Amino acid sequence: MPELSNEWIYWSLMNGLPAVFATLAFLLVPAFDRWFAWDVLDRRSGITLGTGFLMRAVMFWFIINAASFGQIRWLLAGNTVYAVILLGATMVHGNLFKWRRPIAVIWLYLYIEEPVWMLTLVPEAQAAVAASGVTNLAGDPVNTFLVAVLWIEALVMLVAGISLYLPNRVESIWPWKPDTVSGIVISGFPLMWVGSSISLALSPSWAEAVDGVLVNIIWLAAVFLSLLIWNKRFDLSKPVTRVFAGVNLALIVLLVIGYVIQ
Amino acid sequence: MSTAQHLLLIGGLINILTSVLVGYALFWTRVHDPKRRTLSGLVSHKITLWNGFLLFSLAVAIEHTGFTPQVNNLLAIAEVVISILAGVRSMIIWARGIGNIFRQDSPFLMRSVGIGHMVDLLVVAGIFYGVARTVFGI
Repeated sequence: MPELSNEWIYWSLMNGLPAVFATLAFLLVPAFDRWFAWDVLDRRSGITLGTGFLMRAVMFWFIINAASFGQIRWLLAGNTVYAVILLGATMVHGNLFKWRRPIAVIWLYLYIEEPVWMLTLVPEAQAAVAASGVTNLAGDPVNTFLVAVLWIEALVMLVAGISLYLPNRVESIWPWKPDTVSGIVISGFPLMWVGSSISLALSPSWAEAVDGVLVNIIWLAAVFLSLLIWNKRFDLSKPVTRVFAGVNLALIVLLVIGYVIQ
Repeated sequence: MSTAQHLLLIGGLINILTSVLVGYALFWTRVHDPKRRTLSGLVSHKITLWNGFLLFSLAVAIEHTGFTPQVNNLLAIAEVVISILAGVRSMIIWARGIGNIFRQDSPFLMRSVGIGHMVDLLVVAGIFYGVARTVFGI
């Protein structure tokens, strides 16, 4: 399979560096919640956005280090879903954004640029792969246990993501009720993983899935650690928070088992 | 002509034809009842007219994006569908006698305008990006 063009690195830096900045700012600077593109009204939303952007930063790091298109194919569906949700939140709830803050304009630019740049990156990579005659990375298939876990994860993420659009049901699934824009943006992370988990489950070989599974584990571990580090704020004594943490931990354990079996 | 151009030209003509028909209905309504409020009818007339012009101009530009035919077709279909939905929505608003959807209508209908803007923004930014790459030889 041919090597990825350098444009993937530029694309990853353009979108990954802001993700690194947002991760550090959301996790380390509580006041950043009120300096962001919109007012993040609950600190728990800010922390969850921080862990989500950490996952995005790690994902871009893996793209920078990927040798071929096969290694990053898993992210295309999920990333498209994510970009559409975030741009949709911006356009539909634009009145809740703080457009006097430069970061809001940078946010809008990034979520137009990211999917639009993919319009040339993906077809060019696909054409190069087709021209090479080698369409998949060789190697062992993904083991059945891990495939099953990924399908279960897709279902869990679908329920988690959709619950954030149901104002009357959200508190029965999430440990808190985010403000409107934060809720939609946070939903982008699990809904992204609906697409990515299915792509990983359908990967033709482990070589094409390994990076995605690692990003997945890192993200879930970051969310779980955030619940432990800020346990008082998330209130782990609440049943809904314990279920949230339990499901998160179960997915991490199952993915790690699948990874070890592989 | 490419498929994307066909789609944009047909979509543009559907919008222009709708605009002409809405213009006729607007004329008839005013003649029938000169005191009747027709602001939302005028909005409907203008939306379909301008969307028609927009699709015609994109039909010219889309040939220079350098994108694959599949990407161009996807962009064209998205823009045609969203322009027709915008026209239909504006006519529903007119038929229901709503003067200002932002004050008088359901949050869903109001927020759906934003979804239309999102598609417009993605398609136009995408075509701009493709044409710019072609112009600068990237």
